[in-house]
Amino acid sequence: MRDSTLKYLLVAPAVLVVFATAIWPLIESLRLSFTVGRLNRPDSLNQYLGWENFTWAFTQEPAFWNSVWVTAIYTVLTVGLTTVLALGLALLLAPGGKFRSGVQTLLILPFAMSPALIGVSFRFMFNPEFGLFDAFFGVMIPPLADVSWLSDPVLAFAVCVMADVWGWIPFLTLVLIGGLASVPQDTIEAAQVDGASGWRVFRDVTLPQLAPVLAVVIILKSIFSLKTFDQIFMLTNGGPGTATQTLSHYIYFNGMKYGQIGYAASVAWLMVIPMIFLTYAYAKYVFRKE
Amino acid sequence: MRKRDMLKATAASLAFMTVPFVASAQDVPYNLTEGKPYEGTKLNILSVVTPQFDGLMLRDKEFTELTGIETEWTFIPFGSLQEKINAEGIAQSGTFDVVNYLDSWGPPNAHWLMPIDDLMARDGISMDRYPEAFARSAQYDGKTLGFPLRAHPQLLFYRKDLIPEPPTSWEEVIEVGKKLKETNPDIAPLALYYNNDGNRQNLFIWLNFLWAAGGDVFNDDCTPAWTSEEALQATEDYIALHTVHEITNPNSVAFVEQDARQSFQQGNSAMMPVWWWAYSPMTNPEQSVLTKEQVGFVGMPSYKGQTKTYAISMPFSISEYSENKEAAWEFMKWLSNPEMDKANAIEREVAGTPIVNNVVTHISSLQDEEVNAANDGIQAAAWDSLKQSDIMPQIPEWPEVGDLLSAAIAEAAAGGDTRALMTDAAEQATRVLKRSGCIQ
Repeated sequence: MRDSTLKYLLVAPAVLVVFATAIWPLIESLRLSFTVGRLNRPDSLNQYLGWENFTWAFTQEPAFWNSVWVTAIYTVLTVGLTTVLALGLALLLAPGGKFRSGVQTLLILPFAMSPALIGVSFRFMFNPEFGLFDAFFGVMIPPLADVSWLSDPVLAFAVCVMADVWGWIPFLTLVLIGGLASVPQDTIEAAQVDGASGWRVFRDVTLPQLAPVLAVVIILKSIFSLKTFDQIFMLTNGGPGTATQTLSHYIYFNGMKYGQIGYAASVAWLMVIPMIFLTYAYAKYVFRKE
Repeated sequence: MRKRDMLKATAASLAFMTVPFVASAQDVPYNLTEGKPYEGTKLNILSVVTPQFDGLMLRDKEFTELTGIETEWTFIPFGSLQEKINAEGIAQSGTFDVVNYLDSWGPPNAHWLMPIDDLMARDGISMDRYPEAFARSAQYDGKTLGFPLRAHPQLLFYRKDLIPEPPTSWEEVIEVGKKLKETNPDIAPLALYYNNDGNRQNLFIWLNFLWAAGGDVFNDDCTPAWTSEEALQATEDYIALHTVHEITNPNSVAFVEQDARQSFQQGNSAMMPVWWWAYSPMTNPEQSVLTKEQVGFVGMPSYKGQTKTYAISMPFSISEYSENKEAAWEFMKWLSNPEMDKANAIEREVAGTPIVNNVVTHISSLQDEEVNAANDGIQAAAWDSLKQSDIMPQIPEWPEVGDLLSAAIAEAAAGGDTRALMTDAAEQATRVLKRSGCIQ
């Protein structure tokens, strides 16, 4: 057998698996997005209605726009806070020291937890009657003693952001520690010899050289924030009201709870648009040529 | 014919000839088919996690002995059950022969839940054995889709040691609550659950107010009816328990039913309207700090002199995709038989496993002295509550419309404008119902 034939044969099983588990579902969901697609009427899965699902989302569904807004704010806050805090931690841990390996090991723990478990844990910890955080905030900041975190739209949203930031900081910290290690030490030392302050060294020397890694971190986190579902599902289930309903949660509810699989597919495809841009940017940074 | 087919045919003929002898040798109870014609069949049952069904599962050795049919139970927590049921309907695989679902999920899934009216008529089973609300909860579009195996009326639970005379109206609840706040400031008078958790639990008590006020969820033409003046007033009064009268647990806006029940069980709240099954955990020392001497129950309070409660059920149905429908029907007959309904509420241990359950669904069990004696008379109170009960609207769009309502009520309890929120929910629901074709 010729090498050129063999290579295709060897790759074929993997291609088939990817086609069956990713490509075909994508094509089928695209087809469904143009159908009535109601699970309680099996014939509607082949009943086509053109672009109506898409126009319906834009013109008739305030809940869709609410979820877009919630997702946008959630993404901006979680990406911003996680990146800044992770960068701060990375700068603290990068110089090393005897506790570094222990701290790094501990940092892995929150990231090793599943988002669903983080959601459940935070739900318990903010339980108004027996929650640990609820009691802690009550003791430390007395005006917060009677605050019911998960019943207030703004505070519930803040708790969701808090839980996400808590879960993601460790991973991004480790990535940024790696990024800092790749910054040439002689450039930093040269700046220090020239009398630059710590802040100037960071701003004018470290940060520019860390920018490609930071860009990857920001893009990667944005992708994950945009598609956040499980943590929200377990923590607030989109409530109170629809104050924490992200786009993924909205799609899930329409598809699986309300049986509107056609409409859910169309909104899911709308969500693909920013994802494509982010994935393209991510690929551009990761596979860039020096 | 191949040798194997010949052997199969011979075995089948022998089995067929043997049936009359087997049948005559035993008296098969519960209208089960004589002669074990489905022996060797294995049924897959999908059920919600609950002690009541643990009790039934632990008894199914009897079913296997009577029919030769084996059963395999799969238990799913309630929070994940709706998705599982929907997924079963989409997959059309027949993985499960018998499925358990919440009554309001019946209409959207009716296309794959097998109507059992003909089988009931053939075997002399009538839905009259159930209270009307329970029976209707398992029916849709004139067809019976299953049996209401786990079904609940609402009752008001209260602390007997704190409230000597239980309230009979919501006005009295407010009065008792305000007095309690003065005498026992460490205990919240009333545990309610206004949070929208995706299961529409914050509509359960709201429906009492709505129906008692003469309002309804939908008009006959499928348009939302909750924006009528009496309905809006009833909704405001329901929300006012928390926002105006402040007799609810301050955390009621964050509570789902389970949180409110925990609050009552841990002694933090003095009254709670909830399903009757909660009596078992409320008096179970492993789950509650309260004793039977402390926990009382009465029918739901009236609103404006009227009482109309909400009843819920979790029917068992046969999947249209099952390849063992006849065997599944045998199982349904056994599972729903009145003797077991009664035994499951009296016996406190099944196959060596402790079971605490007070839920029954047959009228005969509700009125049974032995059942009532074993459960402090809660069935009699439930029977009273059920005489004026109704069920959730039975339309396929209910999950979506119910969620709109649930979100509006959660926001209203959190301080929003009740009228504006309910009107807005009605506008959104109208769009949904027009699009689905419910509103012509």
